[in-house]
Amino acid sequence: MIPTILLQLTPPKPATTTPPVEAIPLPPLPADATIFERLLHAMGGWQAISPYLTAILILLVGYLLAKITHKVIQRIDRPGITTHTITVLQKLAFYVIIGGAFILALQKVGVKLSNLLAAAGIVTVAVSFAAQTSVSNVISGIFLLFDRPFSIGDTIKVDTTLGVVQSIGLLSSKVRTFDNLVVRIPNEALLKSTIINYSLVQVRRIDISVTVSQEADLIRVRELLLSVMREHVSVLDEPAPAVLTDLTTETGVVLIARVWVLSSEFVQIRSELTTSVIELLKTEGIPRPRQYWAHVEN
Amino acid sequence: MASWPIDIELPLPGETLELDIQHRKICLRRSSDNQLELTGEAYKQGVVIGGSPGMTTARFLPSLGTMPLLIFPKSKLLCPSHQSFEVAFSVPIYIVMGFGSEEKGFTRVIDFPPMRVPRALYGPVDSGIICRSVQTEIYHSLDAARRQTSFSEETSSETGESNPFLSAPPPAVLAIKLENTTSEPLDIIKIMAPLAHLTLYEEGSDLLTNHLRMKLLGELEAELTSTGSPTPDSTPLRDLNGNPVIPDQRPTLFAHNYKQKTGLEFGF
Repeated sequence: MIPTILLQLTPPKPATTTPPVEAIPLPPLPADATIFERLLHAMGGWQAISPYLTAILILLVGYLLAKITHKVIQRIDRPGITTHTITVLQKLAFYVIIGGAFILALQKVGVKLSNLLAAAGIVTVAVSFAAQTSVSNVISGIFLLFDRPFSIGDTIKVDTTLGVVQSIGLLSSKVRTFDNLVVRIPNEALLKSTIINYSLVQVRRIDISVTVSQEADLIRVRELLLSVMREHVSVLDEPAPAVLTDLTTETGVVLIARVWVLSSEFVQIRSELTTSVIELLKTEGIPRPRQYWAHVEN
Repeated sequence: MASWPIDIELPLPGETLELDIQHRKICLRRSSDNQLELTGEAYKQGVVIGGSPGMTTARFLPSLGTMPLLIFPKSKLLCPSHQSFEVAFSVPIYIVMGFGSEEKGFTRVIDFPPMRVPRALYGPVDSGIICRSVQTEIYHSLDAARRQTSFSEETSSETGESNPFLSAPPPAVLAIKLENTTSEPLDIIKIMAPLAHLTLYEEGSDLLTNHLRMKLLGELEAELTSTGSPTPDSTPLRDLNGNPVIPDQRPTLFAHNYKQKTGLEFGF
């Protein structure tokens, strides 16, 4: 099948091309013709090569236009238009313009659109076998751009990678981790993975698990934990902090203190609250369990 | 009697000015004709503030901050059916500092918040609005609230350049007329006032906000409207350049009895 396509792409053949330009016999070359004139004569003269030159020009203009559009879209700065939307628009405009220029160029050299579409189907099948992974990544990339499980600038966790999304490409996306490494994740893997997006909500809950001895005064411990959390200036008054007795274990009784904070302050406040809770329980002489004390559940 | 705005002359190049604002000591040092350096407990690393060469004055104004206000009455507030009554609350204020001159106008530079600015979420945890949270006593009238919150001349002492209205500004008083239009008595556990609905007024040394009307439309829903000046003698505070600030007169709806989900409802 593939050789057939190549034949169709070769210049003018009555069955597959636009009506042929009326053939004008080339005049004989003068004896003192330059190399350029001889070359031109050998190729069939200006009339024969002009469609190809026009096609190249169309491709060049198309590429330039796509680049300019890409830059113009990048400069859009309006409220409500996110970086993600701009990226989607840029990619969409770039490929539409390049695709349009390519089709125009092909038509210029005499390839019919219907034949091209038929060929495209066959090419697609052939390419699909040859580049299955890449095609899968491209399709996944398109899904990611439009389905938007995350946007550029979001903090996400994919498997063990936690970081900020830098770019969403057609084949892969880049995530910058918090220790400043750039991780390239294939789009197919992203689409198949469980993604935690930390940027979609502005508040998060901190759970601090505290184990005290079974002999401890639980009501007092509860009050102490509540006071620590209410005193912290960054803890939200609403949803209000809460302390629950979770379960009794061999080592002691487990209480869970829950507070809501701004997502942007999560890590810092979690650390501060854990320190305050441990210090307070020490200061107040709350009996410890047999082993350990407080740990934070993420 | 204080009268806002409070204007304090900026120091000359090389000189410093010490101020006490919202219980925080700050020091303004003029490093050059168009630059000032702000230092203090809250600004240990210092803040360099650029300005115009002609700036001669620091202007201070009270403000209600930049976030919507979520008021939690400390006592339970029950509004019987088809009844209306007025209550008042106190709201801590911010102090806005601007630099400039009368001729060239003033530019806002920095806001000094109250010592503690608690926050709360109004609405569900996935889409709520972060508000400034105020837990306050319920006063039975505007006058009762003013008596409690009014600036006390005896307890204040002006020392040096510091102004008691800057160092410990009295809270603003917010009066609301509650109207229950339903056939059931209703509890009010919170009042959400968008910032656009609130402006500050001044009467003597007292700061008041514009009067609000809260119409309880159902078990959850209430409508809040600004009804203008809190008292006939109060005057609205203008912005740093003396332009009037007009509150939004359009009514807003909010849930006065919305109980937040804390995640406990869904177990562990």
